[in-house]
Amino acid sequence: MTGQFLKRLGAVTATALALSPAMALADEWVAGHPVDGQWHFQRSVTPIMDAITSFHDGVLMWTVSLIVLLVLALLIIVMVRFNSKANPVPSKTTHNTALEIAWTVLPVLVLFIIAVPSFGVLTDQLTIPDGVRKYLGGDILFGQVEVPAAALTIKATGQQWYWNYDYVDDDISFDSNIMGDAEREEKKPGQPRLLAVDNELVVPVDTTVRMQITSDPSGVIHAFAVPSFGIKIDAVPGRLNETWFNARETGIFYGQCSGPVRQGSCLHADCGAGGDQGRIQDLDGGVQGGRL
Amino acid sequence: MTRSLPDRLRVLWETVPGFYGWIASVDHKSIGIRYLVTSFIFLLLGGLEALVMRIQLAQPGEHLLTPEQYNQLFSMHGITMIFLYALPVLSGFSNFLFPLVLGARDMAFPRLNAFSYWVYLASGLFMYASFLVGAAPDDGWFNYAPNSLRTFSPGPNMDFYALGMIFLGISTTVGAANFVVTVMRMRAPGMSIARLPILVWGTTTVSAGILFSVPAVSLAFFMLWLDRSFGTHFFDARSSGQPMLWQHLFWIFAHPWVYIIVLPAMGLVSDALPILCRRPIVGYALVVLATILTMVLGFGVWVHHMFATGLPMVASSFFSGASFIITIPSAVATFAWVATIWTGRPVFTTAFLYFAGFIVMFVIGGVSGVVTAAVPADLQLTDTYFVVAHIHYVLIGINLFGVLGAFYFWFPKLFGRLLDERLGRWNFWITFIGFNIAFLPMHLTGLMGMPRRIYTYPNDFGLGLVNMITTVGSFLLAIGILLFMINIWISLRNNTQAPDNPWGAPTLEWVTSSPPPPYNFALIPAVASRHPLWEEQLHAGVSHSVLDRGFVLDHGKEALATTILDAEPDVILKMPEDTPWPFILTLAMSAGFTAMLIQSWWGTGMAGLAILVCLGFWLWPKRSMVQIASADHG
Amino acid sequence: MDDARLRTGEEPFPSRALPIGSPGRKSSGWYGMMMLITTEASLFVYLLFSYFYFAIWSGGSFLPSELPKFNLSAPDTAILLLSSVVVWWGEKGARKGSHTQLSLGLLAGIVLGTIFVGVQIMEWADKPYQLNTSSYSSLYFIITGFHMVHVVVGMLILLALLVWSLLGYFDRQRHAPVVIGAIYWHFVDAVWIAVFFTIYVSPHLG
Repeated sequence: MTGQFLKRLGAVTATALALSPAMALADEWVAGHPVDGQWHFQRSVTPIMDAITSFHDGVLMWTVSLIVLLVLALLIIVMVRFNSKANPVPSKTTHNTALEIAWTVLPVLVLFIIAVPSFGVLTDQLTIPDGVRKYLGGDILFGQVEVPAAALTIKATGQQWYWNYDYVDDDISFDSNIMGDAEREEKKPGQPRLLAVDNELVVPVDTTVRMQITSDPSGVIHAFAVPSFGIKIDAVPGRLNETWFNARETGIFYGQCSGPVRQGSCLHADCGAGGDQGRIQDLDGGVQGGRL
Repeated sequence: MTRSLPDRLRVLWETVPGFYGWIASVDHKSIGIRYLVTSFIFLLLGGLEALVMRIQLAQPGEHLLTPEQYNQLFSMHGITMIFLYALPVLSGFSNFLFPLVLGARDMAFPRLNAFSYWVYLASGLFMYASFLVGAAPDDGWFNYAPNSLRTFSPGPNMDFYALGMIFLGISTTVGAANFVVTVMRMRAPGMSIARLPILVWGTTTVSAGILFSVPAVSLAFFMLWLDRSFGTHFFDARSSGQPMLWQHLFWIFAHPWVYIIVLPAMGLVSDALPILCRRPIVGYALVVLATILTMVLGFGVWVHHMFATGLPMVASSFFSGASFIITIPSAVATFAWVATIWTGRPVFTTAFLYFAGFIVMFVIGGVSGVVTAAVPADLQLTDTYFVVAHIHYVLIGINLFGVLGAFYFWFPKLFGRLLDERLGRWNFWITFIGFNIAFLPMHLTGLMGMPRRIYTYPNDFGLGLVNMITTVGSFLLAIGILLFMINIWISLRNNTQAPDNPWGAPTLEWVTSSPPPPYNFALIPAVASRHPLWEEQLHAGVSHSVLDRGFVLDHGKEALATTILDAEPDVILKMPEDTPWPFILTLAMSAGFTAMLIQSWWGTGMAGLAILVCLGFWLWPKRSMVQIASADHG
Repeated sequence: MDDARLRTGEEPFPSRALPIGSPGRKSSGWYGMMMLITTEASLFVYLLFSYFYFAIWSGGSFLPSELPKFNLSAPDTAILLLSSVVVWWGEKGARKGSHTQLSLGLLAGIVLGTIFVGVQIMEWADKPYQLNTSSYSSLYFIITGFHMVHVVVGMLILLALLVWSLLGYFDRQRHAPVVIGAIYWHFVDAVWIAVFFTIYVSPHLG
């Protein structure tokens, strides 16, 4: 079954190049990159990114904003009410046990509130679906999202400066290079500069994909990241890292090499070797993955 | 013996004027001021590097800098701020203040103190020399292997960084040892450990941390240098090396290091802020405990810089949990400061404003730290501008704002002049507003997914506006710093002598004159409480510190050593005279590191011999400093 | 004479004659040496951490086919430990004020240290690999090399102490440099135990 998938995928990948003008259209309705006026994470299309977004926008943002506002308010109040004019005689109290216990316990409670969902989401991220285990999704406390077992394994190898993708159950393997300005204008004019690549990684929609990430043993450290999927993992020479995603929408999703490599040069548009980009796109019922 | 005691002491302690005195001085006050001035110059250099980068990033697709230039600038910006500014500026304050707040005449090892400064200066110049040959380090301040190996970085860039860091590590280590021993030995009689000012706790704690952490990074850089120069296989994955070992060794050092460069600043604030609130700090013991706990926990969270490297779940969970927990002591300290203001009678001097700004930014930097401690969020945010925003809130918020406040507060003690308060207010508000304009929107830049360390970014992604705001803010921040320097310049030209104790402060440095005489205290004070000058209000009839009589110690350059816990008088120490050997030794070491840089082993050997000769001269026992078991030498 | 040291009134602390200078362990230098030892010990902890990091990640495959042997290293270890004992004996002499015992102890320490270094160099020469052969060889030479440098520094310290002892700088009361130098030598020996266990013993345990 997987084999069938991949045969079709091979065809789809080929089509992707032929149909490149159509992808410009796809860009407009699923922006797999930051957009003007955005002020938060890029839009989520996977259960993991649902959970991350919900965790960040919900628990995290509320608690940290409240803490900052609380301290700011406290400071302003005390500076206005207890300045040297309003409060000529300073208190000599040097400690107040009840208060000190309170302000130690309070942060512990707040951290507990953050930590519980944090560890839940982390466990989801690090556990490759087996078809039985339920995932949290957008409801990071009680979510019971079903995710099918991984049906497809793709190995991404970071090179200087491009990705090599290998559908390991099949014999499909190809390189994915960032396009220079001239090539992009010619082949994929609708796609963003510094992100568009020649061969996108193409993967099916609503399918769990296991990603294995490594780097050329004689190369440097890269990172494979697709923000809309909620994945970012380093490609380390000599190490094989794993992550997974299950995308529910079709489109082109871009990632950018986030690794601690010489990015100034690898992202330079004039850099002949191309760059580290990731993107995922959809075609004909398939999501196409980009490279990082 | 007809001259007065201060005159006699001055003859004994004063550094001779002129060039010889300048290189030979071991006076902790001039060394402290040298540290402050040098680190401030490095701050300005790092700031200029940042401004150039902000011009490049102001709009999408600019071409002011090439990627290679950009790489060198962001790397040197980080190296400069983190290693050549942040700790040395705090060492400057600690060097100047330690003997004064402890009621001592000098540090435990005055010559080592001078040596520590010279090596700091030499290693800073060594690393900056890389710009002269157009080959500054260009792999970021954490310099990940294998990208920093010879294969990918054939030039001398990384050799400058590797050798420079080993060199600087020597300065940091001997400085730290000096602080610890000074606290153990050189306190005024009666200054038991429960009576130490918090700035002493802060610096001593991080000095201990330095002794444990710096060897990790020196070793890592040494291994890197061997990989690059002799083809060893520590980090080179092609022949079974481990690139990840670099990250472990680096962060085992560098995570404690970020606490090392903020805890002493927190100590400065914890001492100065209560004085401006006219009361003792609330929860002294808690704040001290929080300082120590943060340092200890700081050694257990290094892996949180590596969440994206593919860790097993148990490691991710452990280090995430530890990173949550480490925020608790910081929260405790924050509440102690707020409670101190709440129950005090704050006077809104510029220093106070800086300390209040420090608290606000500490909280913002702290909570954004919590966000990155949560692994799921961190995996989205790591290596984006969110982390850049976080580290700037922490380092500028805690270090720079604490330091600027401390300058306003201790400036009269440093130079005998007060800084102008009206200009100071302008200075504060412009710095504060500029900083927040620059770095608050940067959190958004990170959330949107802009990776750090890219030299330009695509159009049409909505990244132009936030980046432009950041650039505007950074220039405003620079104007604020400029005002600060103008304020210093005006004050130093002004001839109005500052009073000995302009803030009505309770600790020993305010007992002596502004600036203090070369011998600090004519009579060694004896203290009976944490606030020797506030005893009438606070402990009437209970504690009596003795400030108007005490040990004279005028038979040569003498200082008093006390016992470790209770600070009872123990030994009268013979202090070393001014000496040029620390300076000459530094020259020999500079020659050695330069020879290693150009791989001249003959030169390295010669420099090694010169170093041994210098050490011999330095350490040769002197019959004039004979040690006598009891004090009958009259 | 002490009364002349106080300008007014009585001394705030019980008046007693304080020693001058730094006799014995009360010297600041002794505390300074403790700091140096702390940071140097950390350096060796990180060196051995690196070794075990490689050992664990490689699952043992990083070891050379021929494991380190005890034929030279075991007697060498004994020699180094013996050198600690003779230096300790010499230091005891300094406390008693015996120049002869001190000088003999220091001299014997230097001789034993030299033998240790000589044997170690023989062992290095015997190895079929060099510094840049493999990760293991790099680690082997950097760890034993770092230790060797410390032994040499320790010997230079002992040599300086010997010269000063012969020049008559030390007596029963003042011999702080001897105490300080000796503690460094003991530290160098103690570190060798950890290095010996890591390099020579631990591969045989797996």
